[in-house]
Amino acid sequence: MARDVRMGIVEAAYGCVVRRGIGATSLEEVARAAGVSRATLYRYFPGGRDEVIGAVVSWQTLSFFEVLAQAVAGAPDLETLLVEGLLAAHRAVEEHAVLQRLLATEPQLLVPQLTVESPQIVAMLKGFFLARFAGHRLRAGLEHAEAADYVARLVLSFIGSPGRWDLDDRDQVRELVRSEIMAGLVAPGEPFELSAS
Amino acid sequence: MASEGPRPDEVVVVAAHLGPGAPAGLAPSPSTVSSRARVLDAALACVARFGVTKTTIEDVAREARLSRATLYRVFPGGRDELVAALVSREVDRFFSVLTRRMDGCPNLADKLETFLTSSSAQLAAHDGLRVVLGHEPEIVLPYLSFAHFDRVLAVCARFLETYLSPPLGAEDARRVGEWLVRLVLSSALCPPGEVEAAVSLDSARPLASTRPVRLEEIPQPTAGRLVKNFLLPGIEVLVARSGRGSSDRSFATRP
Repeated sequence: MARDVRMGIVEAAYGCVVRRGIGATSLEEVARAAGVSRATLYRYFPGGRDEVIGAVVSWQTLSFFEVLAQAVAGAPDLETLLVEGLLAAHRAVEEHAVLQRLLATEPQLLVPQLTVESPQIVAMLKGFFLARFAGHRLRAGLEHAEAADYVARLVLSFIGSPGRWDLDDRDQVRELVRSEIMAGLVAPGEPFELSAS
Repeated sequence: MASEGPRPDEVVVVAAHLGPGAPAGLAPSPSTVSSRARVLDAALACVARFGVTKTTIEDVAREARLSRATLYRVFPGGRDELVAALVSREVDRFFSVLTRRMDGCPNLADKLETFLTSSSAQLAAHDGLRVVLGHEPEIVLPYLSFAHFDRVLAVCARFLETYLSPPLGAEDARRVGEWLVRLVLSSALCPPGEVEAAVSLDSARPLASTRPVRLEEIPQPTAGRLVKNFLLPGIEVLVARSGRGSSDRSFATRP
């Protein structure tokens, strides 16, 4: 119940951010859009406006990765999962109209928030990969946690900034996955099958 | 989250100097060279004390023990030109330290490791950068993610290309250069300890407090493992694919 009120506030705040941007979204407006009093809003978010905006960014980030996890759920092996995941994530970032608008108009408000949360995002991706590495033999001397941490960091880096790689091109993404991401995990060409999950 | 961002002109000025082909300006006369260095040293001291936004021309003049008039003679564009020149000089210093360190490395594996440790150590030890990240992160962080970070990657990759080709061709060398920079930034900005301590991301339980943003040095053993476990195997794949030499890892230890 409390969670519903809280979620209602977060969703209403996202609506305000979509309409007016981060900087112009006031606490009063969020309260009005959510249909709660200022006092109620402060009870759920003692940190006020900044805490509400932080919750909006967390919620949207989580949703982004939940959709991504669903998109790769059926991948038969790690290479396919990484290739299809990067293609889908890149497309999702490019086509995310709200994200792109905020990056163009208010990067100074959005990016620090995402940076503050980056250890959480890396930890989440690391957990995702660690679960998929379970039971697999990696190259000698490489620990599962180390490999999962590495893959999580690189994947996150490429989702944000493709650099010289064309992440719309499946062949390039496959080459990227085989060299920079997977070469250290198993010998080239060695299969890395994933059990159905 | 900060409620106020940097002034747009500050962002533009910093951006111009992170990008390739920063304006060179007029060739300075010998006497202005020393005043210039003196003013920039003073500006860096002020930034390390007050941050970028709160540093005024008067602060810098006082710190440099020069008159405002002299300062404006050296930097006619005033504060914005001064900030841009400071960023530009610090970036140049960063790369010249790296050049010295990497030129002394006997082989590729050593160069890769040295880049990881030396670049992250320089970022972590930079007093100005530490204060700006701690108190006005909104000035710097937008350049370290999304499309702006692509530009930073491109600048660094051009620097690294000469160290990586051979064994790699030019395009692969730049890609591997970007790969190194990704690893530095990820490890520095999102240190392993903070990933370990991370609570699960949940909009119902956002972080109680925002963690201070800072850059951490990559310890030598970590850098060594990144090189051995990930960079060399990946480079090996690229070398083998392009048909440049045998598909073993001897390129890593060849001078």
